[in-house]
Amino acid sequence: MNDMTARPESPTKVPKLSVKELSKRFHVSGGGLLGGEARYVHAVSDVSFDLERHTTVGIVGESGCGKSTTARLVMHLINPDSGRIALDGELVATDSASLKRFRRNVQMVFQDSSASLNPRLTIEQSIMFGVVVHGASKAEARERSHYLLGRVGLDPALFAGRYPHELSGGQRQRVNIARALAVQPKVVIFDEAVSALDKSIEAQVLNLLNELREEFELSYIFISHDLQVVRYVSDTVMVMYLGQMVEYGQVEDVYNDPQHPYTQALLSSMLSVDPDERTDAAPIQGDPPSPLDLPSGCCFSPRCPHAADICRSLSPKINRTRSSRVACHLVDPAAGHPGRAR
Amino acid sequence: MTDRILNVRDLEVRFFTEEGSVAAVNKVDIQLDRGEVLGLIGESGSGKSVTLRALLRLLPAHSSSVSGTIELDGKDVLKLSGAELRKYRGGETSMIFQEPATAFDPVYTVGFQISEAIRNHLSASRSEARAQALKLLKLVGIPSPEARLDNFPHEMSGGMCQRAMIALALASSPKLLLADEPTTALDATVQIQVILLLRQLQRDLRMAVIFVTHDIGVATEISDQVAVMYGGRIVENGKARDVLKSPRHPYTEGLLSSTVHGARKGEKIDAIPGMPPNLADLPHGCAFAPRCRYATDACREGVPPLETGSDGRRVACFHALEAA
Repeated sequence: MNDMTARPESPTKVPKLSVKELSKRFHVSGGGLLGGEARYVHAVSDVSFDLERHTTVGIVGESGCGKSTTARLVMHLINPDSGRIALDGELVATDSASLKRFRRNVQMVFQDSSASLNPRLTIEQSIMFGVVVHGASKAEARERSHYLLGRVGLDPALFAGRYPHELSGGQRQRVNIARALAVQPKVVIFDEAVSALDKSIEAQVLNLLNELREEFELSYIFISHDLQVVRYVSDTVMVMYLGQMVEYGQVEDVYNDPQHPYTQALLSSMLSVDPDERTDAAPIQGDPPSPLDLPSGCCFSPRCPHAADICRSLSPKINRTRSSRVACHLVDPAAGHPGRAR
Repeated sequence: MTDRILNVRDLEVRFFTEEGSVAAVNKVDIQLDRGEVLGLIGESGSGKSVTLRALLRLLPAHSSSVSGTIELDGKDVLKLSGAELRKYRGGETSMIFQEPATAFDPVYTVGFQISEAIRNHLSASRSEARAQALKLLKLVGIPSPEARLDNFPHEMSGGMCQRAMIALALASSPKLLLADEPTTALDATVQIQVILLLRQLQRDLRMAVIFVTHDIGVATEISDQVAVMYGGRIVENGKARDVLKSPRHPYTEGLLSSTVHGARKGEKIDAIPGMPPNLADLPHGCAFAPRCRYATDACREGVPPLETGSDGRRVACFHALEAA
């Protein structure tokens, strides 16, 4: 399909988690008994990335760009239309026994800390649940839950017997992190896991995530709309727009020298924290279009300051530049974009 | 001739709950000039949104009490009632909310709702009001405004809807605009557009604005003056540049240093320990003392008063940091 998938995998360095050509579209209306043209939302189109051992991949983008769907597809909480996922170089099968094994190795933490905990279970029971399901004894599970509670900063003597509603948002999110770690995963996916927290609490949780990554040798997929947070936690970053990957690379390369016009606009939309250097002009106008009616050609072309005829007619392929991958005609010498001479 | 438009003194808001009465806002003072923007910063439960609702007289009378003074352009707001209060709410003062889609009525078109606001506050015919609504949609930069007048709120994107909300708030040419996290729910590329729009409108119309936010970046982009709230009180207040560049209250300092802006990957962030207090169960003395690295016995015994320095900077702390 594109040249990122053609990359030969070096035998010595197998990525922890490898995602190839993941796609999902949701049926919206039409095409049934009543006729009418079937309409689809292209939630995720042809997304590929590698999560290297003991690193963090950040996924950024605006609402509706498919970042959360990507996470759910990786977990098989939604079944992908196509695509392959490999853990430690081994392709993940979709029978329930393989998925159970896979989900033990790959855990997820969600944004809404209270909706993701069973209100009728105590904190301790919630954390033990998965451990017992995966075959440990109750005593062992309890011991592990107490250790992890202490590790995420909640004294087990005080918190083990409490119910989720008795905790603050920050404390509940710590419980969710402890629960994810209880089954000893290798990869943890955080889907906007710190977005709902107050700033002073967010900083505490980010510090905790850094420590845990070291202690348990974890690899993270970190999804957020907050560009500063993603820069802080990630080694590599994937920028998504309307279900497609537009840029992927080492975090400092992407942030210091963004190649795709959308990445450039997104990064210049970051708010200043210096009262003497306020933003003077918005980098792009308008809202992201609805994923229901994708524009033809490059999906960013209606908002792109560099859009030319080719962008409106032909979807760009993914180009590898020095260290990143960029889906834009501007960076492709062969595409013949008139702005190429810049 | 003074340019002072809003004068709030000793504002106190109490809610009556089953556990007794809770002070959500305590001794809040705000002074605002025409054409000035106050950024009201705080975490959840700090009292910032309650302060805004008290200013608009939106709080339910049966479960809350508001005391102190609120003067808008010399008029005592807390004494208003009946027709005068209706003229004040949404007339002289209006408000924009975090979720524009829920602030609009879903069963009427945007044009109808803006026209209705115009007709309520100014004497205008239906067609005059519609023409004025069109002008407002143009003013807030909505593309093809004629067509948008007949749109329902659900037919607009988030950013578009927030622009329409701003048009609605401006319908009565308010003297004071209250904004409750109006850009928090918006995407990054849209957020900056809306902030710049508000900044420009506020300057052109010489409107005073109180902008509530939890985001230091938003406050930096929009504010002339900044007030930091904690546990229902203002703990620091001053010019945006002064407060954000050299904070004097330990909480402000902590808030600024706990952002990941500029932190190197993997580097430990200087986070404030503990969590924000519960308003129903505030600690004795300074509400921030249990989390404060400078706290002494004095802090745990008495609440530090908000004292004004020679530069007009106000800080409520026994151990205020030296301005850099």
